Amino acid sequence: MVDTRGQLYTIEGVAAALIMLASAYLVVNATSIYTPGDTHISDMQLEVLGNDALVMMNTATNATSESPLQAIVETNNGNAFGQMYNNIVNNRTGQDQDHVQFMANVSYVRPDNTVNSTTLLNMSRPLSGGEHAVHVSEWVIVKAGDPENPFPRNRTELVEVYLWRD
Amino acid sequence: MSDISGNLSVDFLAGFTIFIIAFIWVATMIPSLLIGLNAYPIDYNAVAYRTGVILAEDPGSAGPVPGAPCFGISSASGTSWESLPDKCDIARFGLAVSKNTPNILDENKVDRFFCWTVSADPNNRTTFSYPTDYQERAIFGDYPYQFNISLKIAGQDQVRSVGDVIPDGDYGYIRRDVMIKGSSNATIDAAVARNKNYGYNNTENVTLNQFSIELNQAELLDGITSSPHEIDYPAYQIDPGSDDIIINITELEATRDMTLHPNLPDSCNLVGITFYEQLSGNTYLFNITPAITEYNLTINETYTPVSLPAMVNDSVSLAFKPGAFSTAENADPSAPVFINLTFALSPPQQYLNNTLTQPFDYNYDPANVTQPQLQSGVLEVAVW
Repeated sequence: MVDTRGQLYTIEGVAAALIMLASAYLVVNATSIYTPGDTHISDMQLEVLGNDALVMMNTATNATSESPLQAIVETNNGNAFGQMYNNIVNNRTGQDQDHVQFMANVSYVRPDNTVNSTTLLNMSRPLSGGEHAVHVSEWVIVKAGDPENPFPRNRTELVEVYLWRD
Repeated sequence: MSDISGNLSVDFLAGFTIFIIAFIWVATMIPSLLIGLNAYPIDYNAVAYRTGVILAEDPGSAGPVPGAPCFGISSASGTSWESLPDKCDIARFGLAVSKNTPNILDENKVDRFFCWTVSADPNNRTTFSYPTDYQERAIFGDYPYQFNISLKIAGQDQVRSVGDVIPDGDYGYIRRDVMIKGSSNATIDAAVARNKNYGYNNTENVTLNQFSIELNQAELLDGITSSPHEIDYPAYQIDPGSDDIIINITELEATRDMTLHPNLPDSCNLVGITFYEQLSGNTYLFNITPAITEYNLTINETYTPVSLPAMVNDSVSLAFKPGAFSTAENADPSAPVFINLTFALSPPQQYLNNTLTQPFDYNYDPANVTQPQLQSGVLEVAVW
C-alpha cells in the first residue's frame, strides 16, 4: 500500500474501498438472518392454529357422540371437512375472517401392510408454488371397517393437513 | 507520505480520498444495521404464545402471588381458583378444565376471568383490575406488557374481552381454537315422574310428601357408575366441586291424583330442603348444611323465597354453585349427597314423592341428566 517513501497510491485506495464495501455487504446480509418477523414465528402460529383446529374437530361435543372428524373420515366427506376446518381455522373474535388456505390427506395401513393414502380435501385454493406451507396431523379412530377386510374392525387413520397463507 | 521537500503526491491524495469516502459510507450504514436487531416484536410474540398456552392448556392455580401487594395472606391451594372470592388467593389464571384437557375451557373459569374493571380499587379484593392483576397472573415478566385477550363462543353474540384496544403497529399475537365445557342439568317433569313412579303408585294420602335426589359424588368423579355410560374424561365429567349443578322440577301439578282430588289443593308448600351425606364406613346418613349462599332456590320460575315454607304452584328449581356441598361443615367431597325436598299439601294427597321408590339419581344417564356439552370458541391474545 505504501512504498518506501510511505506513499499510498490510487489503486490501493480503490482496493481498500472495495474490500470495505464487500465486508459491509456481507455483514448486512448475515445480520438479516436474525431480523424479526421471520417466517418461523408465523409458521409456528399457523402450526399451533392448524393443530388446535384438528384436535377440536376430533373432540366430541359430549361423551356419547363421536367427534365430527371421526364422522367425516368414516364417510370420507371432503366437503364437510373443508367447510368445518375453514370455519374453525379462519374464525376470529372480531368481525373479519382470516385467510388461511389448506389441503388435507387421509391415510391408513391396509391389512397387507401397504399404506392407502387418499385426498380428503383438495386444496381450498390452487397452489402457485410459492406458498410456504406447514404440516399438522391428527390420528383418528375410525369405526367403519376396511372394505377390503372381510372382518371389519376399528382402525386408526392419519389426517394430514397442509396450511398456508396467501 | 511526503518527501523531504514537503510535497504531497496527487496519487496519494486520490487514493486517500477514495478510501475515506468508502469508510464514511460504511460507517453511516452501521446504525441502519442495528435497526434490524430490535428484539421487541420477537418478545411480544413469545409472550403472546406463552399467555395463550397458560390460558388454553393450564387449569390455573390457587395460592399466594409473589410480588403482589397481598402476598403472604393466602393459604389456598388447588386448581379451582375461580371459586375463591378473594383475588389474593389466586396465583395463576388458567382456563382449562384440567391439565389433561388442553383447549377445553371451564365455563366458570371463563366467567370469572372476564369479570374485570379498569379502576384499581385497593379495597376491592374480588374483581380483577386491568392491567396489574392480569400481568401478575397470566402475562408475567418484568416488562409491563399491555395486552388484549378476547374469547368468542359459538352461538353467543357477545365477544368477551379484557384489555386495551389493539394498536395499529407491531404487536405479538396468537390464536387458539378452544371448546368450552358447559354445565349439566336435570329436569324432572311429569314424564320422568310417571316413568319412575314418583308419586303415582303412592296410594297413601300423606300430609308430607318427600322427594329425594341423590348426587353420588364418588361415582361422578370416578366415572364408574351404575348407569350404562362410564365417563372418565374430565371434559365430559360432572364434578360437583367445580361445576354448577342445576335441578329443575317442573309440572308438579301433574303428579297429583286428579280423580281423587279434582280441585286444586287449599295449600301446597315447600316446607323444607335438607341435605344428607353418607360418609364412608357408615350406613346411616349425616345431616349437612351448605351455606344458603351456595345455592339458589327458585319457585314457580320467578320467585326466590327468603325462607321456607313457600307456596308452590308448578315448579321448583335448585341451582348449586361449584363446591356447594363441600362448603358444609364435616362434608366429604366424595361422599354421596342426598337432597330432600318436603312438600306439605292440604288436604293430604298424592304428590311428588319417592319415599317408596328410588331417589332420583343425578348421574351420567342422559335419560336423567342433560350431560355437559362442549361449545366451540376461539381465543385471541395480543401483546404489545
